[in-house]
Amino acid sequence: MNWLRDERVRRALLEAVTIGIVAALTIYIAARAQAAGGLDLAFMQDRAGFGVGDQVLTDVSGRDSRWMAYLAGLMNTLRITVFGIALSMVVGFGVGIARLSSNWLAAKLAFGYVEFVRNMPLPVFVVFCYTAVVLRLPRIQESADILGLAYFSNRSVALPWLSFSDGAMAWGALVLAGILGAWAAHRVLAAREEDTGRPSYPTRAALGILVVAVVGGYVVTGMPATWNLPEVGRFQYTGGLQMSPEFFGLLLALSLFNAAFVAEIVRGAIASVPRGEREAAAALGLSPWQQLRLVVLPQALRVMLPPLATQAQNLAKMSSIAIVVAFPDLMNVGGTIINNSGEAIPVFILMTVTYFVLNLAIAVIFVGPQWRFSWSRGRRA
Amino acid sequence: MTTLRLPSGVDGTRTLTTDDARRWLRTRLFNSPANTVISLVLLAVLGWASWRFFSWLVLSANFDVVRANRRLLLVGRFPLGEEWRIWPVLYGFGVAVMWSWGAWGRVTRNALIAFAVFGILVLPIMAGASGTLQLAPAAVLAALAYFAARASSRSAGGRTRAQLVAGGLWFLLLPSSLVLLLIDGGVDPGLWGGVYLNVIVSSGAVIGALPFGILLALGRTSSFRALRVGSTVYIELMRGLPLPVMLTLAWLALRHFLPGWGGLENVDLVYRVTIAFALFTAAFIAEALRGGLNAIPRGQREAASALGLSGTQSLVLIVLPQAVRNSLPALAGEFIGLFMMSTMVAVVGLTDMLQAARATTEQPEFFGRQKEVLLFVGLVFWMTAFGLSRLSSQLERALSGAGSRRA
Repeated sequence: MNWLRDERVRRALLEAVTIGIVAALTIYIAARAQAAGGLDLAFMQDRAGFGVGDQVLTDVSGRDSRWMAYLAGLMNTLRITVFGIALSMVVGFGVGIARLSSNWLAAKLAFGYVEFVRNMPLPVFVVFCYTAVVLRLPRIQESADILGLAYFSNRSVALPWLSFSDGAMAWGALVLAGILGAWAAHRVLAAREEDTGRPSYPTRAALGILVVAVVGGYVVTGMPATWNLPEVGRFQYTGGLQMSPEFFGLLLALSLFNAAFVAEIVRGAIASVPRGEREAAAALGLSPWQQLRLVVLPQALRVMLPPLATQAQNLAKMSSIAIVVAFPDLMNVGGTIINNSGEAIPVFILMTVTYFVLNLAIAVIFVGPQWRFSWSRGRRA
Repeated sequence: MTTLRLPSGVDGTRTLTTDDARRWLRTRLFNSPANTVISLVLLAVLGWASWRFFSWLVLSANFDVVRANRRLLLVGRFPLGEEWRIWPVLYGFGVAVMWSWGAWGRVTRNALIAFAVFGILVLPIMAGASGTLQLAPAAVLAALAYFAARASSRSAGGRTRAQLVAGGLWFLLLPSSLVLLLIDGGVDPGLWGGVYLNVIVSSGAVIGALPFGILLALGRTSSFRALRVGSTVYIELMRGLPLPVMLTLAWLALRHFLPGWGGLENVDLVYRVTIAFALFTAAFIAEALRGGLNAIPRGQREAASALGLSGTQSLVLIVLPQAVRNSLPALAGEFIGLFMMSTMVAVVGLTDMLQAARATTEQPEFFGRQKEVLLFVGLVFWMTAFGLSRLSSQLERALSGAGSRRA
């Protein structure tokens, strides 16, 4: 039995044992999942048998398949995620910069906001925003309004929005071309400025091209977009961008909650830029705004993008709390499908995969720009 | 005339004059035109918001909804006459928190102000004087524990002993609270509720998640490929999954994975939810610990094996204690987060404090009192999270101080 004392043999044996244990656990879980339905998704083609409320881009009814209901839920999750990320970034950047402000009141208020939110459970925040704020808004006939542009009531919330007519696609194409043109012009002129040392005004040129594309395109394509202002009807609003109280309450809570975390990320990233960078920029004669825009923010942005991506993923995951306010998101619809089909495991595997893909997409969208930053830094160096 | 401590004074204190106030305002609020505009706008917003809030508080708020439903918010539908199972846990929790605080640090002025405002102003207004008085013995006991821990940790040896006692308190508290619920016939888990359910679910999940998380962290940093891959896949799977999905899994599908020994697969929903929380939190604990594990120099393990310790001995005696200590702040953050996220049990229909609060406003006499009751719930969670996070930052400071002394 001398071979048992050989370190390599013992190691190989232990390796085999651990592989065996992990494999056995995996097989056990897989076998149990297989016995409970596994990946058999045939039932998803049956009639859903329930309606999905709060649909905007989709129009799925109970007569459509479960796949269509699932899709409608996914669209709602995407809607709350996209709006939520956008709003939390805007508020979070504002609060994060305010925390570093030289204005005592702004810094303290921002600090208080962050401390308040970070010690508060999200579900309490969501329930408060929905039942104590949105549902306590006035009735629709007595809507609260902001300058007659946006209306708030316990039945619905309506914001000004654009309404598009026939030429909108052409206008969109022109705007896209303008953005590409502006980007190309900026690159060419900036490179020339760097090579020759003569001022070539890349920013002004790019902005000019953009304005011409947007305004010129708007006129040429026959003014395809007009402001669509909401109006108060007897029982509902007409026109504008309308949101259900569930959507609005959830959006409010998720974005205000996440904004506090975004603010901490922004503050940390800006504070991570060494003081000397700013002082050097000031010594070169840059104005405070230029210091921030040209020196501090580009460096801070590189630091903050990965944690911001994580935070955005968190928001996407947290949006599944929608069930608490009965907003029909992916998870809510998935739960209903489980209840009316009895197929728990397949739906769970489906939901897990869906959330994974969503998280992956967010990572690519956020960390995509970071590649550009590291790349452009490498080019300049 | 108020005397305030100013850092510029020679003796540390001097009388505050109107000149000081003017200078203070000028340098902090009105030092440039832009800042003046910002300050004025913020002051206007702040004034408007405070006016709205205080006029609501004085004129229309009515905290009867909290007072009348105190019991529901605290323990849900827990049977009358069974409270003896709960009070020791509440007392023990207060004593453990304040003893730990005394053993590792001290209560800062800001924390003291927060506690005082909450205990003397907020609680009596919301929960009523009699409700506050019921908590007074627990508060007194907790304060006594704090001063006892402070007094006994004057010397370095006494401090170590006090810290060991604190560890023992926490170690005993969680299992004993569960034992108290189960002995003498026990109470049907379906009747557990209120903030007590939040405490039970989160502490039960901690007990399960900590060992599992340690195993996962070791697995992820292990030299055995199968363990590394298995742990990594598990951790990333849990981190990518929303908690509500995990809870619904526990609700509707965990029985498919539990072995059928003695009816284990049909175990009560509260236990299943606790298992789900534990499985979920373990992944995050593992990640927090991995940072602590990676921070330990190779030399520690090499020195251990030079002393003749086996691989397991060096892991348990040398590596793990340091790793846990390094990542204590991160772990504390996970536990606080777990307590707050325990309000997610609403998703599977358990009556925790948040759900109990929602139920109160369905009583006809309290219809429309959501603001009052949710404000109360929010404040309870806020104070707990705030206190625990201050405790953990004291802990962090004490531990980093210990590290630098040795170096």
